[in-house]
Amino acid sequence: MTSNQIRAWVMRGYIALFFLYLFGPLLIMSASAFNQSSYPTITPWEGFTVEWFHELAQNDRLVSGFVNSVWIGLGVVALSVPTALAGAIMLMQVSDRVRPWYYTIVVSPVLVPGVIIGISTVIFWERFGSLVGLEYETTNNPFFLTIVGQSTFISAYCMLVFIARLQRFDKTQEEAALDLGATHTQVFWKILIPFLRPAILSSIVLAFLTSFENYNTTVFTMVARGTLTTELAGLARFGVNPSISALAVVIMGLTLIFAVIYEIKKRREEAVVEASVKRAAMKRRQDTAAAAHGAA
Amino acid sequence: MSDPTGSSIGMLAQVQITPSLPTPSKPEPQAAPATSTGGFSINPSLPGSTPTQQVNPTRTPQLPGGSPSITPSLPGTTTAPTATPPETPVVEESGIGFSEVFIAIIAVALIMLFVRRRSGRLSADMRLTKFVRRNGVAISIYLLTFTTGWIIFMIALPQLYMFDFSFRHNLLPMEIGGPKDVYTLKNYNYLLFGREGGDELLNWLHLEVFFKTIIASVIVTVLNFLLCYPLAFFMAQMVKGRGQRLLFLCLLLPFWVNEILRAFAFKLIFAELGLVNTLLVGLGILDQPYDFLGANVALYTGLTYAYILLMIFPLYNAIESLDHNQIEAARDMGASWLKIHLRVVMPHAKPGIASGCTMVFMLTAGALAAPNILGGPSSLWFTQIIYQWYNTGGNWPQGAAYAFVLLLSCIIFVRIMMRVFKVSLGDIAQR
Repeated sequence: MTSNQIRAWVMRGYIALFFLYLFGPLLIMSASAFNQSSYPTITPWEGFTVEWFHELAQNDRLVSGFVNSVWIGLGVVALSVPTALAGAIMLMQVSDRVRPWYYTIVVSPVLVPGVIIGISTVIFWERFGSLVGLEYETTNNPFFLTIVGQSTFISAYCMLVFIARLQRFDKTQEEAALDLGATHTQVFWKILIPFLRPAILSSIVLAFLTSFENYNTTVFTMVARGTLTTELAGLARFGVNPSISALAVVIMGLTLIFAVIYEIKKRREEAVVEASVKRAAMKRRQDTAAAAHGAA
Repeated sequence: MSDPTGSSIGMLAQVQITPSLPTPSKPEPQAAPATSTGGFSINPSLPGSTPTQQVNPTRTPQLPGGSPSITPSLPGTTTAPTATPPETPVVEESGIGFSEVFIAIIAVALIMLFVRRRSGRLSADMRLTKFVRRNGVAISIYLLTFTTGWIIFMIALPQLYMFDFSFRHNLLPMEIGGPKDVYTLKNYNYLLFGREGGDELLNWLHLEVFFKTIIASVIVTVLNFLLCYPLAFFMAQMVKGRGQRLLFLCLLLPFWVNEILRAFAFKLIFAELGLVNTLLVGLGILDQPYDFLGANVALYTGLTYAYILLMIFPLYNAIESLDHNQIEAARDMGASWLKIHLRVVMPHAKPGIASGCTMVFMLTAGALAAPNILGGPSSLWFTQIIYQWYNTGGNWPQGAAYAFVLLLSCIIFVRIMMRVFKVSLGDIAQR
C-alpha cells in the first residue's frame, strides 16, 4: 500500500468516526424512546413500547411550553426582522467614519453570552418601567422580556443575512426608479423589498428557530414561566422519564422530513437552472453559427 | 463585610431549603427546571432574617395565575436594615438612582452629538436632511426608530445599566433611591475575597469555578478545532458536487435537534447504567461503572459536540477560497503533508480559524444548558453561579457583577484573538 492509499483510508476512517460521533448519540436517544425501561436507556433492553409517546402528549407543561415558544417565536420574528432590515440598510448609509463603530455595536450581541443578555434585559426593564411610570406588568411581562431579550441578538444574526444580500444590490436600479418618478416609499416596496425577499424569508426562519431553541437568555427572561426549551431542560436535568426521548424522536422525524423536502426542492431548482444554462449555451451556439453563416 | 449574603456561601454542596420562604414553598412544578440547583445550591440566605423583609413585590413578579415565581426564594438576602455596614467602600454618599444614571447617559450622548456636529465638516442636520431626502420621510422614520431603538434600548442601555447595577447593594424596592442606595464595590470584592471575615483569604470557590470555566472552554475550543479542521479541509478541497452536499446535509441534520436534547443524548450514553459503562464493564475493561458525569467527561464531550457547526463553517468558507493549485505547487516542490497545512492552508484560513475558535469559545464559556444537564453535582460552570445569584440567590447586583466579569473576560478574549490573528471584528462575527 502506498502512503497515499493509507492516507485515504485514514481519512475515510476519520470521517466515519466523525459522523458516528454526530449521529450515534441521537440514534441511541431515539432507541431509548422505545424501551420499556422506566429510565431512558437502551441497556438493558426490556422490550418495545410506544407508551412514552402517550405520556408525552399528556405532559401539560410541555404542551403549554410549546404554545409559549410559538408565540414568542412569532413575536421575535415580528420585532427582529424589521430591526435587522433597518440595521442593515443603515449600515450601507452611514458615513465611512461612523461605519466601523456602528458595525461593532450592532454586531456585538452575536458575541455577548446569552446569559448576560438575559440578566441585563431583566435588570434594565425592571428599572426602566418604574422610571417612566409604566405598569409593573407591562415591562416585566415574561413574554415581553423574552421577545426583547432574544431579539437583541437575533436581530444581529438576521442583519448579517441582510448585509450579505445587500452587498450584491445594484444601486442603479434604485436611481433608475427615482428618475422615472417613483417615490422613495415606492422604491422601497417595489425594488428593495422584492430584491431582499430571499433574505427576508431565510431570516424569518432563522429568527423563529433560534428563538424556539434558545435557552440561555430565555431562562432569565421568562421568570416563572417556561418555554418548550426551558421545560425540556428541567426534564433533561432530572432525566427520569423516557418521554423526553420520545419528544426527540418526534423532532428528529420532522427534521428529516423537512430536510428531504428541502433537498428535493433544491435539486429540482438546480436541474431547472442547469437546463436553462444548457439552453442558453445551445442558443448562443446557434446564433454564432447563424452569424457565421450570414457572414459567409 | 457582614452582609448576610455571605453567610452561607461557603458551602456550595449544602442543600439549603430555606425555612423562611415568603411565598408558599409548596412543590412548584413550574420552577423545577430553573430552581433545579439540586445538590449544590448557593442559596445565600440568612436563616435568622425576618420574613417581613422578604416581600419584594418588584423582584418577585407574581403572575396572574398566582403561581409562586422562581425568584421568590429571596429569603433574607435582601439587605436587612443593619446590613449596609459602614465599612463597605462607599463611593457616593447620596443615593444615585436609576433615573440619574439614565439622564446622565442621555446627556453624554447629546453632548457627544453636539461636539461631533461642531467639529464635523458636514453639520448633523445637513446630514439628516440628506438622509431623509435619500430615503423619503416614512422610510427614514422607520430606519431611525428601529435602529436607535435597537442600539439604545436593547444593546447599550441594558449593558450599561447592568454595569451600574453591579456596583449597588441588594436593596428592597422601597429603599431604591433612598439613603442606602449608594455605590459599593462589595459585589466584586465578594468574587475575589469572599465574605468579609471569612476563613479563607480569597474566594477560591468562585474563583476556581471561573478559571476552570475559562480553561475548560479553551480546551473544548482546541479539541473542536482539531476535530473539525480535517473535515473542513476534506469538504472544501477534496470533494465536490453531490458528495459535498450530502456531507453538508449530514452535518446540518443533528443541529436541527434542540440543544437540550443533544445534551440529554450524552447524558444517556454516559450515565451510570448507560451504554458506555455497560460496554466497558461488559468487555471487562472496568470492574464497576465509572462516573463519567461526575468527572465531567460527558460535559466536555457534549460541549464539543454542541458547537461543531460554528467551527466547521467558518473553516470551510476560509479553506474553500484557497486555490487548489497552491497546494499542488507546494506538493510539487516537495513540501511534506504537514508543512502544506501549516504553511499554506492554515495561514490562508486564518480568518476562518479566528472566527470559529472565537465563536466556540464564547458559546462554551457562556453555556448554561449543557452544564446544567451534563455537569457533575460537585462542579459548576461560571454561568451557573450567575444564574443562581439571579434565581435562588435573589441577589441581582451580585449576579450583575459576576455577569460583568464574564463579559469582560469575553471581550478580552476577542481582543486577543483579533490581535493574534490580525483580523477585524467583522471577520469574526461573519458566519
